[in-house]
Amino acid sequence: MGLREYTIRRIITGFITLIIVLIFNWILFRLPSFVTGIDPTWFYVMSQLVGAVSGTNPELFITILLNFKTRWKIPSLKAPIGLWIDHIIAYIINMFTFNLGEDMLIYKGRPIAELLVTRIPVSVFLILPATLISILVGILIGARLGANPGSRLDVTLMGIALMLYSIPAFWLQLLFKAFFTVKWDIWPVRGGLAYFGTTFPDGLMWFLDALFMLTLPIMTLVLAGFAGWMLLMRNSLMEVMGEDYILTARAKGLDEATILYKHAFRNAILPVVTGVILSLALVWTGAVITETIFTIPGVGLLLFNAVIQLDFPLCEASFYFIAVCTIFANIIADISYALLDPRVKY
Amino acid sequence: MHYWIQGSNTRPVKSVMIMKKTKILFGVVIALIVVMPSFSPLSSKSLALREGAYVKWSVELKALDRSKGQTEHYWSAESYLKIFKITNSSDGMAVLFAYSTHYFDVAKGTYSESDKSPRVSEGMYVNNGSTKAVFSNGNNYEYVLHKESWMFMMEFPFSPFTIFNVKKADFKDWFCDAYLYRVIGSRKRECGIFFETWDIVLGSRRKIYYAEMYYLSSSINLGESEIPESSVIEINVGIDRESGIIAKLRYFWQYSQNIMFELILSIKDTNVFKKGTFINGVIITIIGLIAAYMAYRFYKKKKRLKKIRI
Repeated sequence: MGLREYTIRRIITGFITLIIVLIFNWILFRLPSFVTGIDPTWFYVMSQLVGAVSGTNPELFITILLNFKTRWKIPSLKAPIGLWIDHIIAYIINMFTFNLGEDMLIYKGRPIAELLVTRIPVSVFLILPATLISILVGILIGARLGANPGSRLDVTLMGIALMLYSIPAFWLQLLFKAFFTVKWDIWPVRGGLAYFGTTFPDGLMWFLDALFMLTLPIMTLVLAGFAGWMLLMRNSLMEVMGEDYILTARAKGLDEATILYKHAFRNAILPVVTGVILSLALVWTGAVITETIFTIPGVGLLLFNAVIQLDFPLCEASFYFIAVCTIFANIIADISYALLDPRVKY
Repeated sequence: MHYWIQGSNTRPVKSVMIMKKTKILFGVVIALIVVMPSFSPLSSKSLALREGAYVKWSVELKALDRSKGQTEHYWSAESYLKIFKITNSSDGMAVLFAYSTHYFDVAKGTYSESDKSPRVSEGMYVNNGSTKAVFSNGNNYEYVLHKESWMFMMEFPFSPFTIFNVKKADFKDWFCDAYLYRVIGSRKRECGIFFETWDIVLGSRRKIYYAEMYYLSSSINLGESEIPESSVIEINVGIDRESGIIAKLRYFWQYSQNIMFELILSIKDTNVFKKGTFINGVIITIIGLIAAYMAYRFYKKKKRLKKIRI
C-alpha cells in the first residue's frame, strides 16, 4: 500500500472513529434519562428552576420546557423511532459543521463554538511553550545521556527525571503555587492571565502581562513533562547506538559528535517525532488541572466548570472538540511517521 | 498447487453443492417474498372504524419513587377493542363494539396511602361485551368509544378506545387546536409540540402523528387528593396516520410528594394493518444479500475453473 492509499485509509478510519465517538457522546449525556425514564429536557428545566422563587410554578415550568423543546427539538424518550433518527442525524450534521448550539446554564445564550474559539488561544498560549520547552529540554538531555549511559551525569539526571516523572503534576503545581504565590509573593494567588488588568486581546501589553502570569504554570508543566521526553530519547538513542551502522561509522574513523548527531540522533528521533506531533496537535484541548489550579481561562477550565455545574451542552461540545483534536492528531502523527521514515511500508 | 492436482475429480462435486445451496437460498427468498404477511382482512389504508376490526394494547403502570430513586412496577394490563357492527343512518352512525381491560401481574394495586382497598387486583376485568355508541352526522374528528382511566380519578385526555378520523383534511389543525392549546392560568396557551413522523409498529413501518403535551395535572384531576398543585403531566401520544388508532401512549405525572407515575400503552396486536412488513423486509434483504454474495462467489469459482481447464 502506497502513502496515498494509506493516507486515504487513515482519514476514512478517523472519520468512522469520530462518528462512533459522537454516538457515544450523545448517549453519555442522555444516560440519566435512559436510567430514570425522565425526559432529558425535564432534567434541564428542573435544574434551571432549582432555587428559583418560581421553582414550583407549573406554568413557568411548561413555558420553559416548551421553549426548550421547540428550540432544540429534543424528543421525549418515548418518541417514535423516526423522530429519534431525525434528531440523531441533525445532531451529527450539527457537530460536523461545528454548529455546537448555545449554552444555557453558565454562559446563557452564548454560542458554544464562540466560547471555545475565545478559549483556544489562551490554552495554546499556555501549552504550546510548555510542550516545546519540555520536548527541547527532554530531547537534548536524553540524547546526551543516551550517548553515555551509566556515566555519573546519567545516573544523577536519571534519578531526578524519574522523581519528577513520578510526581503527579497537580501536586507539583500546588506546591509551586504555595511557595511562589503565598510564601514568596512573586505571583498573585488569584492566578488568571492579567496581572495589570489588561484584557484580551490588547496587543503587546496583554501579551507581556499574560506571559508573566503564565510563567509559573509553564514552569510546572515543563518540570512535569520533560522527563518523559528525556527517557524516551535516551532509550531510543541507546538502542540505535548498538546498531551495526554505528559500528561501521566508528570503523570509518568518524568522530563521536558526527556519529551521534548525523547518524544516531536522526534515527533515534523517529519514535520521538510521533509523540511530538501528537503533543503539538493536542495543545488546543487545554490542560484541565493546570488551568483550574492557576485559574487560567482556557479550554480546560471551561470543561472543568461545565462538568462541575452539569452544563451538559457545554460538556458535550468540549468532549467532541477534544475527540476531534485527538483523532486529527493521531492521523497527522501516523502520516508524518510514514513520510519521515521511507523504510516504513504500510 | 496440491489442491489443483488432486482436486480435478472433486471440483464438479463442490460446485454442485454450492449450486444446490444457492438454489435453496433463492427458494427461501422467493418463498418469503410470496408469503409476506398479507393475512389482514382490512386494507391498511382504511380507518380502523370498520366492522371486524380489533386492536389489542398492552399497558403498564410504573412509579418512580424520587425519595428512593427507584422505579416500582404496579401492574400490567391488556386492553382490547373489537368493532362488531356499524350502522349508518340519516341521524348518524351507530357503532356496536366490545372493550375490556384485563389487569394482571399486579404487584401493587393501591395508588395512595389513603386507599383503604386496592383499586386494581389480580385478574380483574373491566369490560363490556356489547356497547353501542352513536355519533351524529357532524364533523367527527374523533370517535370516543369509551374513556379509560385505569382506576384513577382523573380524566385522561386520550384513551385507547378512541379512533381518530385522520382522513379528515383538516385533522392536524383540529388536533392542535383541541389538544395542543389549553387554558393555563388565565389564558389559552400552547402546551405541546406536534410532529408528522414514522415508527415501527408491530414490525411494520407506520406513518405516525406524534404529539408531546404538558398539562397541569390539576386540570384533569377529578378527585385525587394527593396530586400537588405544581404537578405537570407529560403526555406522549402516537396516532397511526392511516387507521387513526393510538399506537403508543404515555402519561407521566407527579402523583404525590415523591411518587411520579408513568403509564405506558403500546399496541400489541391488530388486524387493521399488515404486521411485520418492515422486519420481514429487513430479513429478506439480508438473506437476499447473502444469496447474491454466494451466487457471485459461485460464478467466480466457475469462471476460474473454466480458465484452469483451458
